[in-house]
Amino acid sequence: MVIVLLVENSPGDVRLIREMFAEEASSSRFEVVSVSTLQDGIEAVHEQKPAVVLLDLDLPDSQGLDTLRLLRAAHPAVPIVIITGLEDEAVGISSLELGADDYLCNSRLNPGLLTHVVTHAVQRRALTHAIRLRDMPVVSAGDGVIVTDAEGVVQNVNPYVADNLGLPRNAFVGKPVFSIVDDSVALESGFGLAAETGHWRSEMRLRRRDGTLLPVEISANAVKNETGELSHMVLHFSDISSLRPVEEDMLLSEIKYRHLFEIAMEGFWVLDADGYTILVNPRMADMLGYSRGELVGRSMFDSVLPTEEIRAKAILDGCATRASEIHELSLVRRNGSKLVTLLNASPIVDMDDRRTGTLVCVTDISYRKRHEEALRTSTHEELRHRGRASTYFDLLAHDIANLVSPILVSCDLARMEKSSSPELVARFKMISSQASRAASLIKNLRMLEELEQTEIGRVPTVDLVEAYTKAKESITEDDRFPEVEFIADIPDSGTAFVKGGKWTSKVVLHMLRNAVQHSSSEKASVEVTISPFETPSGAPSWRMVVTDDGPGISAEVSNSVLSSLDPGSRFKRGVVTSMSFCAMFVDAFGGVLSIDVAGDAPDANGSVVIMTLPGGEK
Amino acid sequence: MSVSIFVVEDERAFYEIYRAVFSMIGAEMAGWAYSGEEAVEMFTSSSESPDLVVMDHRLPGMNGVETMAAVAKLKPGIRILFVSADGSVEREAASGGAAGFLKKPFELNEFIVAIRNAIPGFEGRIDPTRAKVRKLRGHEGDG
Repeated sequence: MVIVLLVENSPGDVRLIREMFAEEASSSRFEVVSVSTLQDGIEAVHEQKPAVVLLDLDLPDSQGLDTLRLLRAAHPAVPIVIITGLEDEAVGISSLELGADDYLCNSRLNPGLLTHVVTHAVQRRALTHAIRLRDMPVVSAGDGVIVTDAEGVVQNVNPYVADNLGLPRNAFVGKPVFSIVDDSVALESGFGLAAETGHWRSEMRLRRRDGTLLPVEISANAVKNETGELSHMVLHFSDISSLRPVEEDMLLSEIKYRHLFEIAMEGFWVLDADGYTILVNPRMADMLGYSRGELVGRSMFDSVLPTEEIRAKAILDGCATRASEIHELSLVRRNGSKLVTLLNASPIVDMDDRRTGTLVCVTDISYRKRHEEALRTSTHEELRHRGRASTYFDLLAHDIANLVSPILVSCDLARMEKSSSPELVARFKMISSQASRAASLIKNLRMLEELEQTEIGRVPTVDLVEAYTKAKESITEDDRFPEVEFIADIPDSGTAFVKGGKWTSKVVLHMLRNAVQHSSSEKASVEVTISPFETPSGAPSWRMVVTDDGPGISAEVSNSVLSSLDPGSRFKRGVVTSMSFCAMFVDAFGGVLSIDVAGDAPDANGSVVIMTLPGGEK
Repeated sequence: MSVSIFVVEDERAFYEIYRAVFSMIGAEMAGWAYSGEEAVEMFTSSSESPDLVVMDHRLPGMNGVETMAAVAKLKPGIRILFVSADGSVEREAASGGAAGFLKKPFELNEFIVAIRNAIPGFEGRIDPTRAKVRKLRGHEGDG
């Protein structure tokens, strides 16, 4: 049932219209509700929700087009058909512009026309609504959308079109779409194709307000009505222009690269052909502990660990052919402490392909840096959690120690039993050795734990000479070690006080044990030198060098031996070595631990472990 | 010279080990307590004083440091070798008057050296022929 609201104050006209609706064969579909004033009409639209309003413009409380304006303002969506008593075409047309859906002259009214106009008004509203719904995504699309009627006359455009072509939206509406492209013939034929097949796609250029052309990809989709006829065409277009000025691009590139250089988390080191610094970025300077100006003019090799100088030179020289290789290299900071890095070198050449320098990219992988970072960013919760782990660690260490001790002692006792066969003795020796390493690991972990709880500045100094003497005694008394000959070169003063307290003593013991274990001879020979040392920064230090008579050690193994505790260590070789702990202890006190080969490779004979520590007062 | 050593240790695995080692170096096991309280009880009721007490730190009840204080009151001047996995206790043990400190896990050599150092004048040379477990008086039937 279609409700028709009749807003008409002349009772005669009301009766006439009611009778016309009743006469129409299909009139049973319509129910006529009538009111006589605009105000009543506005209210009645709320209450009755009619499908259409038949509106007389001349009412007691409103006359002429104002009546329409007021009703439209109150109800923007309801279909309105004007009934005009005057044979005035102009009023009718004006009312259309003001939002009426149609108009009728009551002098020409007849039942057929009345029902036809009313029905048509209702249907057109519904269709417009449907199109508007479909338009919603169109309005907000990032591409341009143009909706035309079946002839190509623009009905609607989305904001994107207006923005890109430089004209307001309503400048397009009512114009043929073919006028906004430069090749209208191509679009016309495309339009025709889309009307037939439903779809068409091509590239063309749209004309902007300022006369310039915008290259776009266009796709047209036909919209058919219920009878299968073309009712609308929806055209999508997207901007395919890439015409940014070349200079603008280059400027952007330069700004981007300069910005990256300044803020990068990696160190960038620009060297000349002889390895002297031309330029560094802030990160590189920070890594080494210098200001940027201080580094300019300095040789890169001044900041490389002495035992790595040869390798550093090889890296710089060889990068022309092996530019993508990443090397692990230890650098020395301004304060003499070691900086473990991963670096990559690439050659800088001039236009004639001559080598003019090197660009080195450096990444800091020292454990301590990461550790400090972790501490700095720790939340309160994390700190509390660390406290728990610490307590748990104590209990664990105790329990493990209780398990390992009896194993160790039992094995030793079993080996000493007279009834034990040589095979059994050998087996117990092996068990004892494994358990001993486990014990060593626990002790090292313990020391590391203690170190982390200790204020570095409060740790007393220790005499290297005394530490050496004690370590020597312990090894000599230990029957697991072969006979050892120690050749020592110690300072005349007889003492060498360095930082690190009991940790340094531990390192000295490890260095000596390490040397003895490497020996392949019946009687091992270990050379120990303790001498004063001046670091690049000038701070007084002591250096202890332990050389064994074993087969020597390759660079790869020496790296793994020292760095197996580093997160992300590329050289994991099973068990964390005691030397890794040593490296960590030494580093904590501002020193450096390194391993090298004695003599020149490949005829190297023995390995050299070098420890440098800052000196201290007794 | 034969010395007597008293042990305060709650981990049973050490019992057999200690007995064998003591015997090997010419020392007698004076007694064994599984807790600090038991040690105090035994010292209270005994008139004898061992040459050395091997004292563990982590015990059920009173810990090693507390036990050491209690025992020292009962037997002033008694020598105590502190044994612990916890290295941070070393300072406390030293200020409590310990004659020595041994960190767990320890090896046979370390243990022997520590005992020798804790008892002045005791050579404690190893005689492997004596490294056999012998039943000690008063502990027959102990598990």
